[in-house]
Amino acid sequence: MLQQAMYVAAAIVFGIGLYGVLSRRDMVKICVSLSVMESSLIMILVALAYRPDAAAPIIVDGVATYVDPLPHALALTAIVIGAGVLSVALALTVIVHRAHGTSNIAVVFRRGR
Amino acid sequence: MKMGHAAAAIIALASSAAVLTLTLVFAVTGGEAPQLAGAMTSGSVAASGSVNVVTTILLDFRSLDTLGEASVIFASVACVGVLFRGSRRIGTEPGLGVLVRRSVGYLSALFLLFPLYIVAHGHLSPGGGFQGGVSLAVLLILLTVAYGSRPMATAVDPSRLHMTESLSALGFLMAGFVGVLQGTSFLANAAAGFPRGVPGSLLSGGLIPVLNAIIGVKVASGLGSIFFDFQSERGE
Amino acid sequence: MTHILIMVIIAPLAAAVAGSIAVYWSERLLRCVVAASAFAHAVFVTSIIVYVGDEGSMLYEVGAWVAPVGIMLYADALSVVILLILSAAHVVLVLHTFSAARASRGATWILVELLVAALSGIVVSGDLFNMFVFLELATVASIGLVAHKRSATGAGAGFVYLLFALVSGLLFMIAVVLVYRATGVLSLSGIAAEIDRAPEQAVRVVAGLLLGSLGIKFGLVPFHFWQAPAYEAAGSSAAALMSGAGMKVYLYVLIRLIFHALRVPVIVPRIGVVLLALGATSILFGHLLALAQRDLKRLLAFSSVAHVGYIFLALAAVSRGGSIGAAAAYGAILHICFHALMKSTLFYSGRSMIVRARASATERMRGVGRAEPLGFAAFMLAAVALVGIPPTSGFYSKWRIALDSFAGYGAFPVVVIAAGTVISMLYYARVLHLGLAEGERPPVTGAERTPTAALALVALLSLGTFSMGVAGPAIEAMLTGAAAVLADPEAILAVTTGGAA
Repeated sequence: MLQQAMYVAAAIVFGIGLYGVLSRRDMVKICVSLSVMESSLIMILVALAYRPDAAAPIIVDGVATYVDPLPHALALTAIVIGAGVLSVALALTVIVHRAHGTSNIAVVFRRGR
Repeated sequence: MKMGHAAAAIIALASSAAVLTLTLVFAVTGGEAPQLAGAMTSGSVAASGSVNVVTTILLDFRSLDTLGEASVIFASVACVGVLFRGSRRIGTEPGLGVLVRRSVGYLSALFLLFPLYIVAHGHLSPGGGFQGGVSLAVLLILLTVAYGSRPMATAVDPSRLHMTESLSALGFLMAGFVGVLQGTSFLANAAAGFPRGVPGSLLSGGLIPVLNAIIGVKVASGLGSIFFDFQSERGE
Repeated sequence: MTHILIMVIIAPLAAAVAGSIAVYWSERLLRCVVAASAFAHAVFVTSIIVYVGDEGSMLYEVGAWVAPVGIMLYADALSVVILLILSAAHVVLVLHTFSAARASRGATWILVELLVAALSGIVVSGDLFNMFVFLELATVASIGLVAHKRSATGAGAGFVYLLFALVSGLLFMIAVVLVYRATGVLSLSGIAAEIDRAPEQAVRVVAGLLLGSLGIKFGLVPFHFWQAPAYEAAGSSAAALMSGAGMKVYLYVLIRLIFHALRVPVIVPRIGVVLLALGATSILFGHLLALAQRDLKRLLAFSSVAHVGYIFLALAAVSRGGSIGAAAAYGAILHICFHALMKSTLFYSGRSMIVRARASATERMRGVGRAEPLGFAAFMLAAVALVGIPPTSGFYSKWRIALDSFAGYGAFPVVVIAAGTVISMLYYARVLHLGLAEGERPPVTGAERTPTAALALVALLSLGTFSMGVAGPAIEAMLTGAAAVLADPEAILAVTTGGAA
């Protein structure tokens, strides 16, 4: 049940992020929305790892069931990668803003052509 | 990207519904729990001596992933550096009042303790090089906010930060080559003769704490230099 | 145990790291590092080719862990061909940039080396999530190369590329999650072994997600928007690397995952029609969009979109399996190799024209053929090959694809290929016409001249495109090996259960 609830929450977060990406024009807001979308994937990974009555995957004497550790590891990797990509996205936003005086995505597509 | 709010809302709703059904349907039909999880959990201590299974996966079983993600950070630092090349000027953040500066100065010692703890205990409790490195980079940002960009830039030379990152990346590769020299594999841990230690103690996990320390330095200096790059832009 | 397989990743990665240190001392030291890396990478790739030629495949356990728990690297006849393309592109890029003698900005080299490391990692990785990590690394490095000129257009193109790449990464990640949920493993061989137990629905969804994700990467038609601005903004050399080698690597990922790991053609035979439709759309739209371009680099970008389409037609026929599939696999491999060569040649020779005309707009190319005859001739020769006029390599591979897709799907793909050929002839003819036209020649200062060494390299490449069609049989053994692997749906399965480790 808890797992299902987590999937629902992840789907809602995904929807919020996608809405942001589609409806916002400011590049910073698009970056934020994309990372919101990304965090929904992290939530799915965490939900995937969930086992009823299981402990966190740190071995302690007397505990028999642990949650699946692999999705946690994947989630950590995905978070770090996401952070790296996000920093590049923001740097590009700064460059565009410096050149055009605005971070509206429309200038990127118009490009005086 | 250029879309009415209503249309965007509909698409977002539909997609999130799709994600939901996807995950729910496969969560139900996916069959039994992956047996790999059990193998990894039970094998962690025997493999590396680390009680933190996630850390064992990240830095032992799947250490190539970690090398890859460290390289992603390295690449983003290089990217941001390329983008802000030429605007190497120090930011003009003025810094805050004397009260804040003093208290941040005193607190920074404590603040330094936290990332060090996270990095050092990466194989024992949640945490590790990435998490500790990030908090260390936050300390840099905090100090910049408190003291202003100019004193910070003289205290911590951004180009030296960049160099630190490259050196620690080199360190990661070198640590990987120990396995090659020992006749096993790249990034091998216990197989290359690193001592497992007593599981649960600070000195355990073989190569894992070493890699955590290297990654900690690397992430801290990498994110720090990204921050300084963003700062330098303000100087224009 | 031999460590060559990991070294194709580590060598360029170490070069990137060492280069970022070396650049503090001098640009020259950095160049030494880069040259050493290109050389080492080529040596490692060659020894992999030799090893795989003898043994059939190659495995490496990273961290001394075997597949389901750890990450294993894997190379067979198919990966070897892609590695060869990558290494050749790397060497040519280094040689060309060194001989073109333009003051290269140091940090760009670091990104090039990172891109090569990432692409090598993608090719040799035998693990789904590990592929994702290297795909993201390749993305970040490519964005840097797209935006490295720091112009506003470059940054804009980089941002658009990044948006698409992020979406691509999300789709790939969802696919990873679903595959892990369905099979419980992440290694490609493990997935191949377990995928039969997964519900068919899951395979279908994952295949769709992967097609979407990788379709963005190589600019398949519904997702092609990022490519033209990106190649326009990137330098010609970077575009040659990204289009010549990068795209082939992404195609390789598609083949590995869809055909081998998930064995989609076996489980969902309808994938063939999907591939056919995508291929045909890409050919027609790609060529038509190329025809509409007024910029040389954008034209080349859209022509790349079209040529992914040709390879998709061949892959569609491969998915039919049997003798048709085996024959079509050869055509696909052939076109992958030849397109890498032809497109690199076009970008490099195009660069000499762009440098001379001081602009990449096609109108500015007026008279460039007279001013820069060697570069222009090389460009036209490669264009002729790409259009597919006999006896060039392009003709050879296109002919194979036409025959095989006719065997698989009747006349429709042949008509598409013919139409595409005619359209592409039109836009290259326009470049030819403009290039040979009488135009006012701007006075030549030193900067507009491409050094002879660089031109010689371009000419050599161009002759390569021409002679490959004739000398095809010389490399045939290697390509047939790759084609056999490509056509074999159990390629990965067979190898790991054989336990070469």
